[in-house]
Amino acid sequence: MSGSERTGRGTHKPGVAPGPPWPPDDRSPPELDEAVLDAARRAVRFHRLTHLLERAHLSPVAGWPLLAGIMLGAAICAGLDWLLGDDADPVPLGRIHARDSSTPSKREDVDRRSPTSWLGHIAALVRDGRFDDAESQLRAFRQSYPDYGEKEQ
Amino acid sequence: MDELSDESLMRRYADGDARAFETLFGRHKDALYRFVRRQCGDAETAFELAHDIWLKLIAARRRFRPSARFTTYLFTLARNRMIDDYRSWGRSLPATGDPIDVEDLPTRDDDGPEARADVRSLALVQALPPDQREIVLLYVEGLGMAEIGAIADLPAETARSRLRRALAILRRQLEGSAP
Repeated sequence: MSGSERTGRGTHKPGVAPGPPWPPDDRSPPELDEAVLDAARRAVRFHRLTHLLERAHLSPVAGWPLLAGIMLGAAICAGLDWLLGDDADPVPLGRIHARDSSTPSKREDVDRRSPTSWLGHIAALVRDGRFDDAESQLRAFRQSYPDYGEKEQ
Repeated sequence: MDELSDESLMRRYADGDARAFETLFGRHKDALYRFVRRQCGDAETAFELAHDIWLKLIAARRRFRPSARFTTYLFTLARNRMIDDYRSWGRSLPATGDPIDVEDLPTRDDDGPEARADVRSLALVQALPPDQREIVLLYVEGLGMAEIGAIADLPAETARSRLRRALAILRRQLEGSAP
């Protein structure tokens, strides 16, 4: 049941029948609904991407030298810490509507020969709210480095 | 999904189920917007405030604990956001109306839908004093006195008393405007 079909809360008081409709301008405007739902979906995508990056970051494959881990941390630490940090405000909501996948970035150049650099680039895309691009890059990353961060899962 | 409680939906959303949020939002979007719209007076401000309230809920989804009902949580967020907004602009909620003491009108949590609909149909709610208006607006959305008290940071009995006074004003005005 959609909210527009309800006139009251109704979810916890099944005995309460809908009352007369409020004036039309008292209903949540469609533009507001779209904006909120878009933000909600993007928040979920944000955390899914963050989780994938976290997994890659925290579970490097066996045999990687210690230096590689340190470099990885240095490369993406700032972005990833920001992504994974304070749960009180984990999503860049202020930017949620400000960008789309066509937004140009200053960080388009990425060295795909270096997984650490590439992951850092993807983290930056997520931070910028460019989720389509980040997901596309992650898929490409997985094709190039199928075992990276996935061992012992 | 429709049969799940609000609290279950919120937990699902926190775990990454965007459809759970869509269901939850569908249940409450109009009620929240009405609450905001009728408090702040103009549609543009209501749009901005309601948008911000929902974003706050999205941001706080992992901190939501189902010890309180979802509606209590949501409307408390809304109330606090509106108070912050008015403080930031150095103004107070529009205050009109003419409070009177009438304590003899029974109001119970189990008032039927007709009683709530009677109030809902009135266009006079916005003329109430702010402290009574918010109680009435929560009441017509189906919230109980304990929940309303929690949202407005009042003992339930105080909330009930304010509701009685507000309903008395509304009924008096309605009778006065009857042909």
